[in-house]
Amino acid sequence: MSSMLRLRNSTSSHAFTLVELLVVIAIIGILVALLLPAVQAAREAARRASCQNSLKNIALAVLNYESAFKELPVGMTYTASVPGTGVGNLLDYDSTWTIDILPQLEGDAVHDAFDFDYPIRHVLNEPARSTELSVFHCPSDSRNKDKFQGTGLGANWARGNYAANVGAMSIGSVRLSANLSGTTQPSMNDGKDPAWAGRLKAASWPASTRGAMGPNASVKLSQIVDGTSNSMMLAEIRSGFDATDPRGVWALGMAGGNLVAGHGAGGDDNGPNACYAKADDIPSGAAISFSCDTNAQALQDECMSCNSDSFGFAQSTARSTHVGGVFIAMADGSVQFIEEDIETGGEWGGCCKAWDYLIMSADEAFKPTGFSR
Amino acid sequence: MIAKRPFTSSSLALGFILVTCVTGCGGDTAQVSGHVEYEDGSPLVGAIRVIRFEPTEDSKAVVRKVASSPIADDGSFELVTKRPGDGVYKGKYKVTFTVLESPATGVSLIKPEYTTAMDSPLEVSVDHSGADYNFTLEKL
Repeated sequence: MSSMLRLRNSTSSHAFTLVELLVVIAIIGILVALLLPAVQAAREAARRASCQNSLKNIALAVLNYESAFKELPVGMTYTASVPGTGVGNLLDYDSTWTIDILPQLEGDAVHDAFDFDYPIRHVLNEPARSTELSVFHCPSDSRNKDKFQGTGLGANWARGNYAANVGAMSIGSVRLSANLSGTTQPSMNDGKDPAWAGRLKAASWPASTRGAMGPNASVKLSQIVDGTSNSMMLAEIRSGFDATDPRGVWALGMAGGNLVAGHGAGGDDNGPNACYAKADDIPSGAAISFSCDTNAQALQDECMSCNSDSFGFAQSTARSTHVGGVFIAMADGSVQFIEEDIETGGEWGGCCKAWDYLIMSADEAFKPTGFSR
Repeated sequence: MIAKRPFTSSSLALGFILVTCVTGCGGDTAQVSGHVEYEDGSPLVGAIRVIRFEPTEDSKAVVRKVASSPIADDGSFELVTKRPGDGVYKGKYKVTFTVLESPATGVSLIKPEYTTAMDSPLEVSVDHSGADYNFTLEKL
């Protein structure tokens, strides 16, 4: 009897009470809650590093291409040219810089799968353009898994997060604010942007404001007279808001697709992660069904605002989901993190601030007339 | 109860100060809003209407970045530096404007001096939130 009692007593003194269990669970819960943000931060840091590495690899591939062909790849190629409407509303994009450098990225098979007798939007090119290439994906961007579905531009384009720098001018007939370009807009009859054809001699906005890779045109490294370490060659971009948003598509050679353009002074897409109301200008209508207006508030909340373009020009700026800035690759192949705090001219502001000088590759500290500050 | 009452009201006051401070009394930035019109009281017209605060050479702003805002139909604006709601870094600024007939024509509808920081006659110093910034422009 007494031994049984002792046994029962000792058993009950070893069991956990409900309160003790709850306390232990609570402590574990607090510890996990403390740890979880650190784990998430470590995961994002790893994604960021991977994102930076991919950009470096692509920049080196571009420079290898330059070594082989003595010129940087052409940003976008298109044969059709409609004066007045501009390239912003065209559909028949041909090859583009990302396709041209595939052999330098061990992507010969994908490169050879393209049929260059047809525009990239043609159904024959769908297998090639829908190929997911991990080097073009920044893992920090959660939206680069869903393929882009164009209406006039065709279905199933794989996403990409890296863009070539076209320059301070938007793609197409050049229209920038009056205090930069004047009111007369040069036409583009020969299929080249005026800045890239070397025809724009306006004192307020000359051809030297080009970037690294243009529409139907490109430069040799020796033409980047600001110095290859001072000039932006590639920049990060974010993949589209939904499947119909054409931004962030590796084989789509247009502003926002795999090009950044018109992302400096004189417009409303000025600066990295520009958060102005109608920042990026992307084609609309027959080519692309995405409506910037319908999604305006959601896009603004994410700092991805855009304007469904009706002017025939296209503009798009560097964007990322990293905290505080974007990665860019300079023309010497180095990768830099540019903070959002970098000096810009602001919405429709005048030229030229630190961000503008990064974009323009031959400006030699250019200041437009009337903007000597 | 009686002894407790002063404590309650002072903590309320403290809470009120804290709440006010969260929205403006501390930090490097200030919320800036206001109103723009022509001298004769008529509103600015044009498809693009933007006001900018551009830091001066001697501005003490921690981050030297242009703050800007679209001007609403009624002339009101609320400045943004990077993200909506972030306000303006405290310091001295030149005030400039862009008013265009349309982005396609690029025709400016205001006097050229208002478009550049170098020529603009308007200069402000931003040091606290809540102040109203009102500007009247001479007509072209």
